[in-house]
Amino acid sequence: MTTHARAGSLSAAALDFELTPAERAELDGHRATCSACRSVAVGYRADAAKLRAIAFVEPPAWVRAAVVSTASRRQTRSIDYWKIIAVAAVLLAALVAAAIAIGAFDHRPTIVEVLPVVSPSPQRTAVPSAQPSAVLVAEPSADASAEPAAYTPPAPICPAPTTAPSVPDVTVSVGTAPGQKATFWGAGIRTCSTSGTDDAVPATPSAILSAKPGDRFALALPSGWAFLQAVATDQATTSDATTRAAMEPTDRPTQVELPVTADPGESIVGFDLWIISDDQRVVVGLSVAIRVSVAGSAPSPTPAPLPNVSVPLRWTRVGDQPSFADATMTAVAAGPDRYVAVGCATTATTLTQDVCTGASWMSTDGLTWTRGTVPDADHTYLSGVTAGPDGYLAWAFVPGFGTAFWASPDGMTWRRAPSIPSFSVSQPDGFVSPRGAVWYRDRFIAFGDYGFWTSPDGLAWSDGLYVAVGCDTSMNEAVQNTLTPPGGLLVVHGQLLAWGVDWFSDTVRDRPSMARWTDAGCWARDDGPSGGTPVAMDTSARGLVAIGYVPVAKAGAQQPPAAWHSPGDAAWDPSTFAPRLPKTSLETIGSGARGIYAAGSDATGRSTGWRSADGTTWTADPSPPPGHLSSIVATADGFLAVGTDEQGRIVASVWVAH
Amino acid sequence: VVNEIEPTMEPVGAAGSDLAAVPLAAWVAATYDAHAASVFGLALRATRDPELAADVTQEAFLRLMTEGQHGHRPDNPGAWLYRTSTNLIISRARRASVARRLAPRLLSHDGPDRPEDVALGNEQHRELDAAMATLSVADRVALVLASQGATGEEIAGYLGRSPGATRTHLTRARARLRAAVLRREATR
Repeated sequence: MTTHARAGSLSAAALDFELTPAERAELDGHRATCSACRSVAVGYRADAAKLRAIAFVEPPAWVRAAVVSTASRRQTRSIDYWKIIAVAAVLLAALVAAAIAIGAFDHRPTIVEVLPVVSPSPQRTAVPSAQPSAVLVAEPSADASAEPAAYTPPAPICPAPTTAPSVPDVTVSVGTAPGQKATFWGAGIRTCSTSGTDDAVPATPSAILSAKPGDRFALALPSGWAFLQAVATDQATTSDATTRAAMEPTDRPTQVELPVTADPGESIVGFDLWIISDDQRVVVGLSVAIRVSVAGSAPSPTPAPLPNVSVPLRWTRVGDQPSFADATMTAVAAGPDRYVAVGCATTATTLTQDVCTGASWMSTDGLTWTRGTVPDADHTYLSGVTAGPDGYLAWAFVPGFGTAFWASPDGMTWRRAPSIPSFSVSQPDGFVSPRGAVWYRDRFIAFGDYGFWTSPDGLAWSDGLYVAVGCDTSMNEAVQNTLTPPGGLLVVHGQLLAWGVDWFSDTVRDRPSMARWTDAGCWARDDGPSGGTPVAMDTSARGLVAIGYVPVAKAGAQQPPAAWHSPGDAAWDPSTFAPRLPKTSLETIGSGARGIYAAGSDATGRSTGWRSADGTTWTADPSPPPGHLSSIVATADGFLAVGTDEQGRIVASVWVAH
Repeated sequence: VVNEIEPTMEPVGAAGSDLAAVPLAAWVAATYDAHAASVFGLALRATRDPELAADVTQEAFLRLMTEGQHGHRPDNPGAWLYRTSTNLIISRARRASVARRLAPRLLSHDGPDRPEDVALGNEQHRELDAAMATLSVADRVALVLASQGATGEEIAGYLGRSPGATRTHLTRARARLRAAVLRREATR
């Protein structure tokens, strides 16, 4: 039977999407006998009509004047100074190569063939003690010899500075050692009205930095400047330098990190940088270099035994029971002696959607489930749950209000946490929707769209996850600004890891974004998997595993699925699927003694399941549970999943695999 | 089967193909005239900040100009502008929120309307804006995109989401807006 809530949902969906014939018939059939539901549909249409009436607004006249006048100026530009600079740089590099060839330099460092880092050993992101405002990290491209894509810096804004701009020093450091001033090799300086070069005869860098494989260069600018792009090259004194890593940060940080890719021994590493002044009136293309002495390789860790995934899984649907009626389960967590699921139960007393009331279930065996009591959860879907040492934490976005947390010692009796200002969506500093939470050391850590919350018990919450003395406090903001939905929190190798999607990036569509809470009590940024966007992530026997998709820039296009694995640090590799992954979406993941299970659905909506021992290769589960799985946890000998049944009925569903 | 509301205005994006060969300044001006109201309207309704909306509009067109300057004029500049301005709106809103949270509270927001607030519209529109204010920026962006005539699939593309996720998102956003409108009506 179609509920009022579902009819309302279909009425809203019909405004923007074409309903399937079955949905259309269902909606029409319900509305034929439900006048209240017809009025709800009228309300939706009225809102849409009002919105259309105010959707188009002419901007102030000055905006057009600014845009068109800028276009006119650019059109009339006759000389491409940057091409001149590029030619000059090539000639300069050739000159230096010739100088090296004839031994013009007293000290000629060993220039080695540098290979891309392909190492299973953990790499730690080093955050030097002298902290600028933000740190971004780059990984070598898969094809380390590939040239980075052509980069177009933004145009400096007008008016130009009244005094001639000077090029700032760049400081390079590795680990916690003091930074060294990089040797200046040349620059092209551009303002709104001028362009020029400031080249130097390249000198051999004098200072030597010590590093080991897996370390990172941290490049820092003085205040007043920010990075636009950073590219590291080896054989930096020749014209055929090989690009090793490149990045284009979107937040214009004053510090960036690039991996040390040189082999053991001494090398010169060059950096080609684009930087911009804080007032955006000066853009500089800058070349600098340092010498680095790389020590021997780091030891490899002992690999953990892998689960045997050759034994088939047998999924069983847990039988319907009274507590499942008119309810939806959205998430499940495993505690030491029980499973706790959350979601919502349909009340069907309200006609304006969101008629579910937050609900919870508890089971000690995974088979028999008892409904809990969740107070103050009207019109709310509980969207997540996690286990702590003394109980459970659930969370939700409450429409019209914002974030809410509930805590329970047993998964049955819940208390709603008192609100603090940052929970409220109407507050200018509200953190809005909760995205994930985890128990870490001595407290729950949760994060929303704009920030972190912490609580020792799930009831008393405070803002922020504050970095230790000596860390870069602005990293809090930098992390918060890039961790967006779906996102979540994990603890891997004892380290807190926050992941999300920087889908506000202007240069890389749906760029993954990760941050680690280091042992020093600082945030350090990672880029996460490359070449795609994760939608779910979990720990595995070998570190981390993620599933997601490859963004497609075409509206409405199918997003190809993808998966990645990592030893637990910043290094990620793409996974392979056997047979080749068909058109499907990967949506949720669970990991335990029987390996890793990823669930999704194919283009026809039929459920699919994939198994892997460590995330490197995936094989299709020939008999996945025939429903929509929204959350999976590991059991002692398999998995437990919650979701919606194969008929799409509004009934909570649980499957167990052995 | 058709959507219940037929778009009464053409979705942004059709203009541009005939302008591929015109000079940069003329191309930018024509594209601006065709799409500025859509971009500014989207930014204004999503951010509720006229200054921020103007800033977003200017930057979106300047970025488009940079693309054109390098010979990469988008086939569909409207869609390109939607995608870019959507990113700018949400990222600016986030940064603005963080900045407000971190900055000293020097300004009172309880004073009389600023002149630019007039741009938010008449009383009826203010009611809708007030209801929209209870939604997240992402909800507002999706709703305004829809109100400007973008289809669900197009909105999914602009937001970088799957059509399924966008349908859920937009459906819930409409429900939240409806609930907010009803709450305001009940308290009047």
